[in-house]
Amino acid sequence: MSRTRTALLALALTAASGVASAQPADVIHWWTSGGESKAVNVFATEFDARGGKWVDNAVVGGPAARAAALNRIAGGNPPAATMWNVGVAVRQLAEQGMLTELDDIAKAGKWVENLPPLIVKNISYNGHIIAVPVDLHGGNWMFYSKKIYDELKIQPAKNWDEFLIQAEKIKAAGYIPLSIGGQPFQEVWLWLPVLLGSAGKEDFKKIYADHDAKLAAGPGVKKAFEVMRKLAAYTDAGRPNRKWNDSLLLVQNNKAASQFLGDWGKGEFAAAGLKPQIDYGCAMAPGNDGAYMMNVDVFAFPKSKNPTTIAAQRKLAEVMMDPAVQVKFNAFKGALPARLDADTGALDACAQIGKAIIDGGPANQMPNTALAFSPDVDGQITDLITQYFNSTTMTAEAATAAFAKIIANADK
Amino acid sequence: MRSLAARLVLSPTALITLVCFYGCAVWTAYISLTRSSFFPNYEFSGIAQYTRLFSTERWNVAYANMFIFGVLLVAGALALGIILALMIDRNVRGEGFFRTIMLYPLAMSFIVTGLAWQWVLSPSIGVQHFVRDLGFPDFTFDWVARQDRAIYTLVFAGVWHQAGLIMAIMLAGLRGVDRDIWKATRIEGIPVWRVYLGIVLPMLRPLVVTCVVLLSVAVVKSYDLVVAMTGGGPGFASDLPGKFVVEFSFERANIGQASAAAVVMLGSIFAALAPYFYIEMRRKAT
Amino acid sequence: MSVGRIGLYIFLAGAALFFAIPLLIVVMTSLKPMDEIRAGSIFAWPMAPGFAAWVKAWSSACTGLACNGIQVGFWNSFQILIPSVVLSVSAGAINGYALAQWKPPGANMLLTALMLGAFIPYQVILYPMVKIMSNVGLYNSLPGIVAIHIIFGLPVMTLIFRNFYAGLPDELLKAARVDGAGFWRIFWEIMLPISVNILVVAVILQVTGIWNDYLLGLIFAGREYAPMTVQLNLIVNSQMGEQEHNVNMAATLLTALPPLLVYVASGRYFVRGITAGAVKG
Repeated sequence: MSRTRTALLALALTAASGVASAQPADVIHWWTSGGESKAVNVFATEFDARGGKWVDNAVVGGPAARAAALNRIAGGNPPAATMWNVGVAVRQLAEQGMLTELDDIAKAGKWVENLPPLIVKNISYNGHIIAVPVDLHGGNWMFYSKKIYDELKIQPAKNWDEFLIQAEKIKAAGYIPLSIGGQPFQEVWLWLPVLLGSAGKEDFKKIYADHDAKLAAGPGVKKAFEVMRKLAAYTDAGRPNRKWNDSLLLVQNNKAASQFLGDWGKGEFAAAGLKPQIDYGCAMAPGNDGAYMMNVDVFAFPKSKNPTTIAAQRKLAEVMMDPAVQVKFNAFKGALPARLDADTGALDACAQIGKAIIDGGPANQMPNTALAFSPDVDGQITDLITQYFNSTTMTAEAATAAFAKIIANADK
Repeated sequence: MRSLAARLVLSPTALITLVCFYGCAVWTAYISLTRSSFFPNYEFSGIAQYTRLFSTERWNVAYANMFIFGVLLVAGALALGIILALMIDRNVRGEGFFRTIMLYPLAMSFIVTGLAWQWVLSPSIGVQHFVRDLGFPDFTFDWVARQDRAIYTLVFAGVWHQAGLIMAIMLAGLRGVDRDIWKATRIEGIPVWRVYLGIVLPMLRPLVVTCVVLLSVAVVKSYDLVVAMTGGGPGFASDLPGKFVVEFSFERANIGQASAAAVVMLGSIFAALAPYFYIEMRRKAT
Repeated sequence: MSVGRIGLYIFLAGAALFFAIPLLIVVMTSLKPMDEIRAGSIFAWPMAPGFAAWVKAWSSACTGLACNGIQVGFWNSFQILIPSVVLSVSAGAINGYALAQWKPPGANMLLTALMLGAFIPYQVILYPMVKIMSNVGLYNSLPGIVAIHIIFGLPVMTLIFRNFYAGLPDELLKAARVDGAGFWRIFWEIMLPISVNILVVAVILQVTGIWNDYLLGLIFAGREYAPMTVQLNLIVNSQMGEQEHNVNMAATLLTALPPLLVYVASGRYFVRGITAGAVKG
C-alpha cells in the first residue's frame, strides 16, 4: 500500500518537474497553410531552443480560432498565447482585464522606439503594452501577370482611371482584367486601395484613422464607389464564393491580368515556384504610391496564475519580438518584420518596395480597417461594400451616404 | 403512484430542458437588452439592439430569406421524400440501390459536398459550361451569381440533403401499414392512389409531423450549408439568420446584436409553429 | 410491364441521378491527379484513376504543423460517437416510452417544451453552455462532449420515440399491467423488441449527426479529442495554398465512410415488414 503510494508520489513529482524544466505554452493560431506553418515553426523551434515547449493549437480560420480562444477564456482554461489581428478587438480584451501586461519586457526590448506609432497605439491599453506584433503585412498590393502585361505592352497603372482603360484593352484581348473571389472580405481588399487611390492618402487617413465623417461624405468616396461599380464589370462569372487563392490561380496561369490583395499572395506564387518581378509582377495598387496599408498579426497572453505558464508567456514574448527571429519568420510569412530595426536585406524584391515606403515615416503608414475601427463597424463597412459591389441598382450617391453614416456613428 | 417510475425517469430530462435550453434562451434574451459587445455586459439598455437590428438591411434580407428558404425546403423535401417513398413502396426492383443513393447525402458533411455543389452551379465550370459545350451556346444557369436567385440554389442543395431521410421515414411508415387494409381495399376495388391519399397517408400523420419538425430544425440550424455553398453571397443576398448570429457573436464581437437576432429568430419560429401545435394538441385532446 | 411502371422507373432513375451527381463529382475528383483537375471538366471521367490522394488524405495530409493525415481524428470520433449514440438513443427511447405509454402528469407540457427546445439554435446556447460545462468541470473533455451530444440530441430523440410509442395500441400496456409487469419489464420485454425499426432510424440520425458535427466538437471536445470533422476542416479549409481538391475530396469520403456503412448495413431493416399496427391514426 505504502509502496504504491510512494511510487505514485514519485511519478507525480517527476511529471511535475518535467513540466517545470520545459515550460509548456499552448498557442492558438490560425496559420495552417504551407508557408504559414513554416513561419510558425520558426517561433516554435526558437522557443523550444530557449527552454520552452511549444504546444501547437492550430484552428482553421480566424473566426473559429478566435471563438475557440474566447470560449477557453470564458471557460476558465485560457491558452498561454493566442493570435489576433491587431486593432480595437485586442484592446477590448485588455479592457476586460484579461491580458498580461508586458511593460518591462517591452522596455528592455525597446519595442516602442522600433514600431510604427499606429501599431504602438493598438497594442497599448491604459499605457500598458498588452500584445506582441509579429509582422507588418501590406494590404494594398496589385499582383499582375507579367505575360499579359508584356503581351499588351502595358505598365501597372498609376491611377484608377488608367487602370480602367487598360482593363478594356485586356478584356478585348480575351483575358479576365480583374480576378477576385466573391467573398465580402475580398471585396473589401479591393475597396481599400480603390478608396485610397481615389481620395488620396491624406484624406484616406483622415477618414479611417480620425473617423472624419465630412470627408467620408465627400467626392473622393463617391469617386471610389463609382470606380468599384466599373471594376465589377471586368470580373469573371466564376466569382461567387470563390476563395482568394483560387482566384489568384487565374493570375498565376495567365488567365487573369491582375488581383488586389495583401502581400500574403506572394506565398501562393512561391509555393508554385514563381519568383517576384520575374514570373509575376507586384506593384502598389493604382494611386497607392507612397502608402503602405498595414495589417498586423499579434499574439496576446491571457492572464494566468500558474508561475510556469507566466514564465513561458514571458519567454514567448521575447522570442517573438527578437528582430532576427522576426526576419526569419517573415521570410516564410511574406510580410515585413513589425520591428523597423530588423535587417530586411534578405527579403524578396516586393518586400524591398514595401520596406522603402514604410521607412518613409508615419505619413506613409496607413491603417487597414481592423486598425481603424471596432470589429462591429468593420462589419458594417464590409456589408455595405459587398452589397454595393454585387448590386446593379444601388447608386454611388446612396452608397456614399451610407458610408458617411457608418463613419459618423463609428465611435458611438 | 402508477407513474412514479415514469416521473423519475423523466425528471433529468425536464431539468436539462429547463436549464440548458430555456435557461440559456432566457440568458440570451436578457443579453439582447444590454449593450454587450465582446463579452456579456449585464447593464440594461432597453430595446436599442432591436431598433438597430431592424434598420440593418442585411438582417432584413437574412430574415426574409429564412421564410423563403424554410417554406420551400420543408415543402420540397417533404413532397419529394413522400413521392419517392410511395414509388419505392410499389415493389420496385433494385430497392436497396435506390434507398442507399437517396440516403447517402445525409452521411456526408457539407464542408466538401458544398464545394461539389458550388462547382455544379458555377457558371464557369458547372452545368452551364457543360450544356454550352454540348452545343447550346445560349444556355444560361447562373442563379448562384444572381442576387435575386442565389437563395433558391440553397433550397436545391437543402432538398438534396434532406429528401432521402424523409423518404426513409415515410417508407418505414408505409411498410408498417396493416396488410389487411390493402387486402380489403383490393377486394372493394378502390384504386391504389386513392388508398394512399385517403387512407394510408392520413394514418401516417404522426410521421409527417416528425418529418416537418426534423426539417424545420434543419432550416433553423442551416449554417454549414450557406457557408459552404454561397457564403451568403452575392453580397449578402443569400444570408440566413443562423449565419448572421454566428458572424455577429464571433467575428464581429457584438453578442448584443447576435442575441437580438437570435431572439427574433426564435420568436418567429415559435410564432410560425404555434397554430400548428395548437391544432395538434386539440386533435389529441378530442 | 405497364406504362405506369416504366414511368415510375424513369422518375426513380432521374431522382437517383440528381442524388448521385455530387457524390460522383467527389469520387471522380478524388481519383484524379491535380493536373487533370485543373485542365479538365468536373464531369469528366478520370483518365487514369488512382488512389494516391486517398493515401495522402489518410496518412500524410497536413493540418497545421502536423502532417499525419486525417487518421488522427478517426479514433477520437469513435470515442465520442459510441457513448453519445448509445446514451442519447437510450435516453430518447426511455423518455418516449414514459411520455407516450405512461402519460404522467405534465407529459404534454414536457413534450412541448422539448419540441420547442429543438428549435433553439445552437448559437444561442453555446456561450452559456461553455460556462455551465466549465463550472461542472467537464469543459474540454471526452465526458463533456458526450454530455453535450446527449443534451442536444434529447429533443429529437424523445420526439421520434414518443411518436412511435404513441402509435401503439393502448391494449398492449394494459394487458401487460394486468399480468403484473412494471415500468422497466414492459419496456425491456414488450416495447424494445418491437422498436427495432424506429431504433434503426434513431441510430442513423444520431450516428450521422454526431459523426458529422463540427461546431460542438470544435468548442467542447478540446484539442485532445478533436473529432475527424475538425481535422477535415483543417485540411480542406486552409485559406492559403493551392487547394488539393483530390486530397480534400478523398478526405471527405474517408470521413463519410462510417455513416455510409451504417446506412448500407441497416438498409435491410427498412425492407423487413414492420410490426403490424406500428402506425396508428
